[in-house]
Amino acid sequence: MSDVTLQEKQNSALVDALKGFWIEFKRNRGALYGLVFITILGFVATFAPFIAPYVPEEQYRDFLKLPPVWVEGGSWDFLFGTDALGRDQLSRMIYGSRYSFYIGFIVIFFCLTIGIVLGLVAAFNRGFIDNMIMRAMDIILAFPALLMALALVAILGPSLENAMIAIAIVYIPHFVRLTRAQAMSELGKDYVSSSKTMGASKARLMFINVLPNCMAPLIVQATMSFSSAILDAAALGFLGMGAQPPTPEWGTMLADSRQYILSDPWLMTIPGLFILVTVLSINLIGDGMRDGLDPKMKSNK
Amino acid sequence: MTKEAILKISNLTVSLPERAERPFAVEDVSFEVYPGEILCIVGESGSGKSMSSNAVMGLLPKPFVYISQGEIMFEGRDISKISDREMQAIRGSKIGMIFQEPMTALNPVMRVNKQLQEVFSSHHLKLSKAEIKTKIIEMLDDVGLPDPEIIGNSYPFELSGGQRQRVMIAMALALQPKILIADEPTTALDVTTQAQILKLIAELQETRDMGVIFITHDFGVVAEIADRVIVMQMGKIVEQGTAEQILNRPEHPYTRKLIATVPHLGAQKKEPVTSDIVVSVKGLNKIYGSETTGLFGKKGRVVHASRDVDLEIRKGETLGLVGESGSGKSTVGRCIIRLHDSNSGIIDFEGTDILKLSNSEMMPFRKHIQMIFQDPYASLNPRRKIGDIITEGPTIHGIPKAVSWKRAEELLEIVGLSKIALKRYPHEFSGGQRQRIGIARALAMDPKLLIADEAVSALDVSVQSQVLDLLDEIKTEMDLAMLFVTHDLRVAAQVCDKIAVMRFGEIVEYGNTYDVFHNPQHDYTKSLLEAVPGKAWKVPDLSGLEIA
Repeated sequence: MSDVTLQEKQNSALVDALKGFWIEFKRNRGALYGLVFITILGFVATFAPFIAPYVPEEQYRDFLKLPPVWVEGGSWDFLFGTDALGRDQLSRMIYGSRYSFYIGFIVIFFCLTIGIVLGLVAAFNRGFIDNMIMRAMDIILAFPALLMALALVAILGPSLENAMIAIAIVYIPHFVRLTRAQAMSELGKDYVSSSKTMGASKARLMFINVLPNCMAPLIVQATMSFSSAILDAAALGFLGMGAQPPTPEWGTMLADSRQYILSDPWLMTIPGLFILVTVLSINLIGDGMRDGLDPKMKSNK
Repeated sequence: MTKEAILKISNLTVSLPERAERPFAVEDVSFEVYPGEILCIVGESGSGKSMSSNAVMGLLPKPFVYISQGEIMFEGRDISKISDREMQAIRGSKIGMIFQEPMTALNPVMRVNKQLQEVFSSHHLKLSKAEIKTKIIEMLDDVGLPDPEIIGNSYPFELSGGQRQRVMIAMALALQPKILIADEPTTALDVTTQAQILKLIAELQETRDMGVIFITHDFGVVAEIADRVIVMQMGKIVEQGTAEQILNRPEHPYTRKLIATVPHLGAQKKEPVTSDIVVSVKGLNKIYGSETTGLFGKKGRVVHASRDVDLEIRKGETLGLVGESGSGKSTVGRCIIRLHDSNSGIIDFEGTDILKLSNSEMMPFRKHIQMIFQDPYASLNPRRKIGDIITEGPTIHGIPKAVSWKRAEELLEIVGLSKIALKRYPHEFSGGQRQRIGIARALAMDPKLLIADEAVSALDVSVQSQVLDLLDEIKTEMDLAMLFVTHDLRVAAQVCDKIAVMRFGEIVEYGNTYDVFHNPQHDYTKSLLEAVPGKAWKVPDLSGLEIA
């Protein structure tokens, strides 16, 4: 092989890998639809101030509980109608999407960093340290997730930030377990032995050698947990333990309109539907990513 | 041959999916199998030898890989065109198959008895339970398993590799097939076990007048059992003929190349090396597990992987550490490089006992002892570029990146690769190339002692001989001491100055290679040498002939 072709080949190695992932991902229709929805939602969340027709907290006292435009009595001024205090539902939904992404990203950030560090430390220090970490994780896992989060919020005080901390703590064990299991299977491989014979430090082995080889399943897990985090934050919000009014968080919006479920059902339907579709989309993306990233799933198709 | 062929394959072509590296896995292949003969298909990995047999069994991974041309005539019909259901009736009952890895080919959660019963019930034979039971015992007895009752009641994991392979053979032969396809059935086994299994297959084949298609990459095995031989390369048959013809008077340049790379079993008399001792090991002990009782009262199992091992290696000398799996040969290598902690003993490296050093005191010595690993696919970090992999060691030891990078370029040249490779990832290289990268990585540390742990076992013969030549060249040029851990006696005979034979963690024989091979003292060494396949075959001298 001549040097020129080698050079070209080398440049395209990463592109090839991405291309391979994309081909595999594309094959999964659901994942593609999910990606389209999340992209639109992400765009809306980013440019909320420019897209939203009204300020989400602004109350229009003349238009209380106006139904959406497609229901009889709706108005083109308020596409999704207004809530009990006369606030524009559409604007609140648009701003609410920001909170969903905010919650998802922050929770996943904490879960990934803490989970990876604890998982790697456990895998590299079999024995006492490993036992301590893993038993602590077992204890967290022994509680029902939402109950645990509720108890934590009860201690920390109800607010969106505390709800996120509580959710992160509930999800960390999954990341620790996954990282540890992955790292342990990588540790048995000879490239790690080779680094050891060179005198590589533990930190070097952990983060430079082993971690990059554990990332694929962690990315999938992170995607899946992203949606669960949104769902749990909405649940906490609904129970009044998450974001506090007048924050236009989707779960809080559900809670605000709970008493009107029989008289004005669209008030709950719209946020509920958006939570559903968002979570579904992210899960579909997660499935698609698993197909693309996990070589074991690849051959099954 | 006067007998009529039982299997006749003509112009068989198997297509691969579009993006594969070549359009056909098997191209225009024709051959016949006669009753009562062993037909060996030899070739290197990727030559299409397994694909041709899978095509016969109807085991191609459809729809991606399919038969695009040709026919497979068996009992008067073309079995490449019959339905899956009809094929199922033939599979097992008329054509049996055994695989390379008996552990994965047997169901791990099913007792042996039950798995053998499955064979009968899946072919809807009207036999009573008692009949099946006696049949199973008979079958297990036939394949030379002691205590068929006990073996029948065991799970696969309770059996040794050889016993599992015997069970596999019993299963394949349960319904008295006319053809047995054996796909590398002994590759995963130790030499002594391999010899027994080969003998068993030959015996069964003779008593039952079966046709056997035996797929292998090992010319020693071919010499041991083959009646006829087919040599495949890149999906095509390059040569076929009787075993005697192919082995001693190969016609095709590719066959000649393959045969020329088979290491000669006989060792040459070499001058003993008398330079300075680099490392000397005394009384090395390594015990896995502990005898102390665990929390739940289970008594720990103890394995003595190394028992009072003594050895020494001089500058420019290669010591071969040979033995079967579980003999502790790898453990000794890993103890010397301190990948494993030893329980007791002295490892004297140029005057310092490195076993007594702390991790930080060990650092300067790490540079001097380096290792080359067996599996070229697992020994390179798949997520790092070759350049980063080779320069990792020097970087840890504080050598500036620019300097070590320059050195890495030189080293790649030495091992026969282009320096462009530095910026590529391991998956872009073949097994042999990866092993070269592994060697370059070890050399980047300027070692004095190189431990090669089964460094060529995972490679094809022709690649194997290139890597062996490279190692020899490097050893002479850099005046290295080398510990060569291997299970392959042919390879050991070729490269080692001295040999230490290990069994159950002990060195049972230790001496010059020539003496060990020509005048073995210990019974175990004798049985090992006895078991080498094709020992009666003298590799012909092909120098002067055209070689691919």
